[in-house]
Amino acid sequence: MVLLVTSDNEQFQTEKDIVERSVLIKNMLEDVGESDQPIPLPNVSSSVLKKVTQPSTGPTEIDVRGRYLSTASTTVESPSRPPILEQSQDETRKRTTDISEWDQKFITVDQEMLFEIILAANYLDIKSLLCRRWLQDGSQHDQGARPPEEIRKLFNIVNDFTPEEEAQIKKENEWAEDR
Amino acid sequence: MAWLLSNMAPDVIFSIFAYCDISSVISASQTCRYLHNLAFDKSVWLGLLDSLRHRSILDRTINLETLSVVEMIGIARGMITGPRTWTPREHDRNPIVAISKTITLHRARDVETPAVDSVKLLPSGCYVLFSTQETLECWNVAHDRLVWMHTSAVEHTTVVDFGAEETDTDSANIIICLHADLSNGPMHFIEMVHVDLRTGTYDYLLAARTPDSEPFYQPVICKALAAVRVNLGYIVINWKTRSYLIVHSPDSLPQTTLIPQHIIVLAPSVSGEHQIHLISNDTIGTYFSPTIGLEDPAEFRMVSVEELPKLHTFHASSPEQSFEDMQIHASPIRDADYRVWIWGWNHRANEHGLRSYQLSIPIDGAPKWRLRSQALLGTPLVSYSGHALCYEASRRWWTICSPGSSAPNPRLRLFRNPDFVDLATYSGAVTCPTVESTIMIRYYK
Repeated sequence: MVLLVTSDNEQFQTEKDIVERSVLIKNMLEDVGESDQPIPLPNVSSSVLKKVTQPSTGPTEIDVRGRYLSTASTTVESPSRPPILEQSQDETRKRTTDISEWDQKFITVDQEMLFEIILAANYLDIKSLLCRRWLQDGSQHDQGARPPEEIRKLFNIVNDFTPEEEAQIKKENEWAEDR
Repeated sequence: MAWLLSNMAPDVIFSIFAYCDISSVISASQTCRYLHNLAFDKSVWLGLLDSLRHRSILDRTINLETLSVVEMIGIARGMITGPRTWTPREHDRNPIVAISKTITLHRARDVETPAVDSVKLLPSGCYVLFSTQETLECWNVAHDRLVWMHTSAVEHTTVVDFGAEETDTDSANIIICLHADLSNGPMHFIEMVHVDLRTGTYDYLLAARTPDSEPFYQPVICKALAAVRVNLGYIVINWKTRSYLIVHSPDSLPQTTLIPQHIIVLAPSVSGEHQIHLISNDTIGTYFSPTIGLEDPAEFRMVSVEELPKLHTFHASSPEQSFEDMQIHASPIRDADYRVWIWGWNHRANEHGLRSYQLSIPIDGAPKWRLRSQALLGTPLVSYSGHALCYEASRRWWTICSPGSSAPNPRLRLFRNPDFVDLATYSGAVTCPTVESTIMIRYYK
């Protein structure tokens, strides 16, 4: 077991093979060798760490519908329901209002958490977590990638193309629809 | 602070793109200028194309480092659309495909040199496998040199069929269907080898036969599994554990093929309706029996297609449609997608045709499929782009048929009949033996 300490000073007992999915932590462990010293993660909050660690085997990827991960936190018993579903009740954060109802159901992780997870995954160097699923998941569509309009909503992206540019870009990339 | 993706450092965005497929990166590029600029950074496309190489989709004959982003996108696009001169043009009455490159492998020419039966260009484009009456040879394309020749554990064998999967750079797992005339009668068996294609050194993975010593055909390999046809059905072999599963169907021969993590079985249902079953490798472990080998085998346990747990079953788009043969190609731009080419018969129209379906197997969510196109084509030799190599026997020439086009099909010259020709799924390279016993590989513009 490895002891991790988050930016808000919460301690997490986590199995070694799980934390080693993070290349950053793996390298740190290799540097200090066998030791009971806690590993500080000054850039990761406890709420985010819960989301990027997972006690059992299986993909560390976060499911866009929130069906993912329980946590090995010392303060929280592994819940039977995914923590993200529980959390959505006591949210202090606000969801961005222009996300459609469909997206609300679909995302379940709010935007701020989404960004925090991306940043944490990048900092911890957790390959499998990086949020390609938010871009890629096409199970609600006929096929393929999430359309640009939905990526904009999901990531709060402002469309700064002129209509002409947008039409031009769409045309250039038509082949990639591969219908 | 507003959470904006445009506040994120390029490094973060690049690390996301590094785990995306081409279609997602292109979709993200259409959202705003910032992502558009980052999505067409050279490092992103080097990563995207490199991952296609690891999946045995893109060949390794081009040095990507020397290409511009536009050229790299052109490579990806070429896999979707096929070579440019393969698509018929309206006003061209007598179209001929344009060759971009011809490579010839020079085998020794003397009366002893056995004729080539069947050829296969490996997905890397760096090696060619071909069988002769006597053996199976592997040649290095760039060096025009023999790198490996199969030696069977049994004497006086002939090669019936073979299949191969490149496992990493310069190595491959190869499965060979063999026939030997022994003093106590004929024996059919398979051998599997792992070959280091740089050095030509190899290890035996497995040798096996069936109780009745039935012939084996149409072998395929995907990771730890191999599937090979026998008269009873299909044997799926896990060569790592040496266990096997015989998939059979009471009324017909189920056709079986492998894709990563899944087995796909084409078989009619009891009511005669044609369907394709998608079976997850994770759910069939208990159906495998130990142990397959060359020793005189005991009774083989067979498993009916009906018994196997299915992830999903897909049906023909219309009841008049029968399925006879299939090929499955992974999408170069979408990780979870496959194009399924099905060769079949339409009873109402009383005609043969090639149909293509798009199959999606998302990690979370139900697999889906939909009919993309149907066309009447003369051969099941078809590339991902939907171009089929057809031989017009009456005119004694080859054409490239494109579904849905009324313009004349472009012609190309080949030297042998369809049985001997290999069509590379993504590059469209055509490989065939010539009458002078050389082997010719042709790429098209």
